[in-house]
Amino acid sequence: MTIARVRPAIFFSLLALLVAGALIVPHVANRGVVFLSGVVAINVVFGIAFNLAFAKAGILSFGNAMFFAVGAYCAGYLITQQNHLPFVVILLAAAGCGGLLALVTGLLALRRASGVYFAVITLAVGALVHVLIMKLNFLGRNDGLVGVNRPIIDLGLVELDLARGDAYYYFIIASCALLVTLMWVLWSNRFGRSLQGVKSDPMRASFLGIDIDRKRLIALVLSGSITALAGAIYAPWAQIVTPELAHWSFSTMPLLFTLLGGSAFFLGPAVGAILFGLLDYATRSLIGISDLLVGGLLLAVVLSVPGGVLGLLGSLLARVRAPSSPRREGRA
Amino acid sequence: MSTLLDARGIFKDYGRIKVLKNVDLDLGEGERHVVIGPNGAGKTTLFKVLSGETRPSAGTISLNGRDVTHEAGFMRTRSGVGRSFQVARVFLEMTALDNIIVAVEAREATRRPWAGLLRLSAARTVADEAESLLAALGLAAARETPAETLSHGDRKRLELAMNLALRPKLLMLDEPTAGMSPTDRQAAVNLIDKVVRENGLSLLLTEHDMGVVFQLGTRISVLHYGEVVVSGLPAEVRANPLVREIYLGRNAGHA
Ligand SMILES: Nc1ncnc2c1ncn2[C@@H]1O[C@H](COP(=O)(O)OP(=O)(O)O)[C@@H](O)[C@H]1O
Ligand SMILES: [Mg+2]
Repeated sequence: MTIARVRPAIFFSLLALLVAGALIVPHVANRGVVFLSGVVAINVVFGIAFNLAFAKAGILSFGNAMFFAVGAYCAGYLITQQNHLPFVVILLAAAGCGGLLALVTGLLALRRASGVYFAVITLAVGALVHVLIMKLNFLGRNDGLVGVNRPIIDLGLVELDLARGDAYYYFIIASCALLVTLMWVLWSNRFGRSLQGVKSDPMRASFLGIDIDRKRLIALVLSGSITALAGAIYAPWAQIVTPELAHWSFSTMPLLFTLLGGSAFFLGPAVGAILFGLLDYATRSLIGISDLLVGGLLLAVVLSVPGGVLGLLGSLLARVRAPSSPRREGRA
Repeated sequence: MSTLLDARGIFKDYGRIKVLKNVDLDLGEGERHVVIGPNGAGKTTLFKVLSGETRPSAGTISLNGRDVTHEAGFMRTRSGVGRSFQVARVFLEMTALDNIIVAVEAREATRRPWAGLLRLSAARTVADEAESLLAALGLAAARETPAETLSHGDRKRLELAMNLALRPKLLMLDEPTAGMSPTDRQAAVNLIDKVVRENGLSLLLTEHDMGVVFQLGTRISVLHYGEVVVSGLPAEVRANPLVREIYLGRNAGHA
């Protein structure tokens, strides 16, 4: 499979399918399901943003909870305290805060530590951010921020009141589709290919003239700011922001989506997030054992299909195709 | 002839192990300088120091008259140095063609960092250039083959193609024929000779096969326990009694 020829038609058909599915939900399901569906869309962005750094640049970060939380708190604070600011400005501020935090973390640790060591450092910085959030009065300490209202977007001629009906849900779907497309461009273009080189063989990449430290840093900052955006979009959806978002255990979610769907595929984390949402919904009445069931199922999938669901599908497809179309004889 | 690369008084220690001891080495434009020496002499270490993979413990390195002693490897690459590794380093999961495309794109990105980022597939010109490099190095049949399934020799050629994609002025090859059969070795030597000629490159090569050394080199330096013991024209080096004693004598049966 070449990475130099990209086929947008395939990506956009799949994206259209996902968006269409999401747009049907409010017409056929109750409010609880619509809420869950919005969360799944945000999780799709959360997961892919993690995997952009993980699968493409080889950065294992457990800082994604803090990026998400920083974005959510930034939006929560500005919406509750600085209500006059346009929502777009609030979103940009959240992305900026997430990117800045990623930049600081990356400058501190990325050059010095790699792999698991870097992951541990992000865990430590994440714990610091978690403690900080719980100590700061203006962020509501243990209680977090409540009354994070859905905003009105002023487009000059028309005003979009996102508080009405399912408006905010549609806003989530549109903005998530946009972010997914942006990440797909970064994954597929020259930048994505050079990231893959940095991950595949850093020494070779270096001696192609690639500044590998800078590339890794950029990947982390992109991942951090897009994750913060996901958090900022989430805040008015939940209408409450709590310190649990910054807890390290929340960082395992995007990793889970990624492993479940398949890290080698751009849409792997999307598939993972959707499957996780379905699983969560299917076991919602089994209070107490629901977590156990979900955890066990996920463990089973991750252990039995190392390439994720998409990896499994891919190899099944290859097996079905193999007898009918004999492959060209390659060089030994 | 102007000096391209000039290394003066290079020392390199790994802890208490002194690998390079006061090495002087220079390379003029268009020259083909071969560093020979038995295994463990410090040839690869010298390569690492010259290319910027590691810093020397002492000494200075200049490139085109500019002091690059403390410059990172990727910066030296950007100023026109391509290097190979004793065991070829390529992107194993990518196809041969993609490996070269990534190299061409890396060169382009150095020149114009912000151009073409909205483009998804590799540009037509980039793909064409990669295709012709692939063909020039006899790898056309391996176009779609992931590098991990290529033979050792094919990977070396692929790595050479990636280096040529950078359009370097100086090519540094660390034992380009190591582990090859005599026929493959001769083919590799001919190929290197051809690409160096066609691209007007300067060459710095390490080698321990004497046949290769005398076919490719215009100047030879002998590294022995981390010291340059002799440096000069091939004929001079061949005639040097010290070289005969420490190197040629022992390896005569191999060459
Ligand atoms: N990273 C290192 N740490 C310690 N010793 C090393 C290291 N790299 C090389 N050496 C030692 O330096 C000497 C020269 O090695 P090398 O440069 O690979 O020689 P050559 O390429 O001529 O075979 C060897 O004795 C080797 O053990
Ligand atoms: Mg060596």
